Amino acid sequence: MTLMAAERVTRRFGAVAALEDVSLAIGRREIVAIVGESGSGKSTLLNVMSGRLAPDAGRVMYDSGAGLAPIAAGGEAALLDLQRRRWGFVAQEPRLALRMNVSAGGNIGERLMVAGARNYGAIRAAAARWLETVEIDPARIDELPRGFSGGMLQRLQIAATLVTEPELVFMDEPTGGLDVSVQARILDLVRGLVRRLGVAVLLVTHDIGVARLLADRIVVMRQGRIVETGLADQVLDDPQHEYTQLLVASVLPA
Amino acid sequence: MIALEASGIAKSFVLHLQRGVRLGVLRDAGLTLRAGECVALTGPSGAGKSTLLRALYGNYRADAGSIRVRHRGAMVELAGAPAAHVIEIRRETIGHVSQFLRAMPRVPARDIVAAPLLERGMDEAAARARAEAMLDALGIPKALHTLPPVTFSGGEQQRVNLARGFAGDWPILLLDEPTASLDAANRDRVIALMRAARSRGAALLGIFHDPLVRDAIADAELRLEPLKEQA
Repeated sequence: MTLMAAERVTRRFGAVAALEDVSLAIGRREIVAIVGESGSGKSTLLNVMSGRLAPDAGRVMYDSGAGLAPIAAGGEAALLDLQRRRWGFVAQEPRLALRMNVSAGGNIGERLMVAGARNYGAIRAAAARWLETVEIDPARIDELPRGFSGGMLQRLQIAATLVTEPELVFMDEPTGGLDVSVQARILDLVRGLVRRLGVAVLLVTHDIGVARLLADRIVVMRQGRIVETGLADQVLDDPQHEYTQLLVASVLPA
Repeated sequence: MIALEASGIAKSFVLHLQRGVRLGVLRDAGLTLRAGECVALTGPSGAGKSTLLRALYGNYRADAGSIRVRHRGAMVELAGAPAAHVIEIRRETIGHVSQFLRAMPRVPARDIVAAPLLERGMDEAAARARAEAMLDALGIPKALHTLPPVTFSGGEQQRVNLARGFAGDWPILLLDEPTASLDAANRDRVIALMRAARSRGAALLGIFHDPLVRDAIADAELRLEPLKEQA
């Protein structure tokens, strides 16, 4: 069952078409990875689908429970409500997503308050529980994230995103800036949490290893268009398009 | 009762990076597999045995043909089915067992074996218990159950993968050389697991290079020959 769909979306930046007539549907609980090189349009597609960038043509649809409807139909307030209550975002750079002058627990609790929670004790308990879930010592709940490592910051961002139990999470290169050993820990964490909570994920990555590990389905983009899509293992083991074959053949085997 | 029925399967690979060379591997391949039966795929290297297994699993996309499997009590078409449907069929109906484990960093052997059971909705304690039992059945020492198999020997990794492949009691099992490079004791363990699967009514299709294994488990043979000309 379709949760979200981009329908014939086009977006230009000046003369450059970052997205050219792209359609993509995401099902409930489905994990979809968009792969492609820099400039392929994968981040633009993520930004258009998450309502942070308006398309020049086409539309983005979302099912909030009463069937698919355009995300732009209800105006700015309705879109903000979707983004706050039903969606989550995990950015590559946690320092830009987190508030570095607010405690670790505060970063998690703030999202709950935005979503309507008011009981201080309950919010603090939830924050402590989520720190533990992402393998950060709950004793550090009152510390500022400034002293956290890159991997810890990313785990804190994941906790702050998932605490409101969104239906859909957008992730843009979530392990992009991290060491390989730290990446593995975060990917394993994300895999487990996403399955347990049953959230849908739209993930942008240039790393096809990440896509294989996390995604049910892979979408390959090049020059603003989708060139191939299929089950993750189909696309990686039996790539059809010339560009996908190049992408798969360019990876050093582990 | 028919478990799987495939006909007219064609598969070729177009290698864009090698000047668009087209390798034809399968043409008009097909078979019928019944519950409780084991068919051995035979034929020389390059005849397309693994390719056929992968096409039947939906891992390779067949160029033509029909793959119908008994899923939730009815025959359904797998070829060209939407991704979500293929995932559901794999979760409940078709298992694929290869000799190669795709080990995930930080994930213990027990959890790798339990993963398909959890995806099917089994509760965590039951899935873990089942995973432990399967690892025991394949002779993986207890001390290794809670360790990630990245550092295991090749043979241990292979047996973890077999434990995962047999844990789910899939009604259809596709087996790609399950006993390759195992010693005699472990080979016999795998034969016992395959026999147990058959006697609970599973349909097995496998590539078994070892004639001893083939004779011990298979009751029919499907021979593939390499395609002659390439278009």
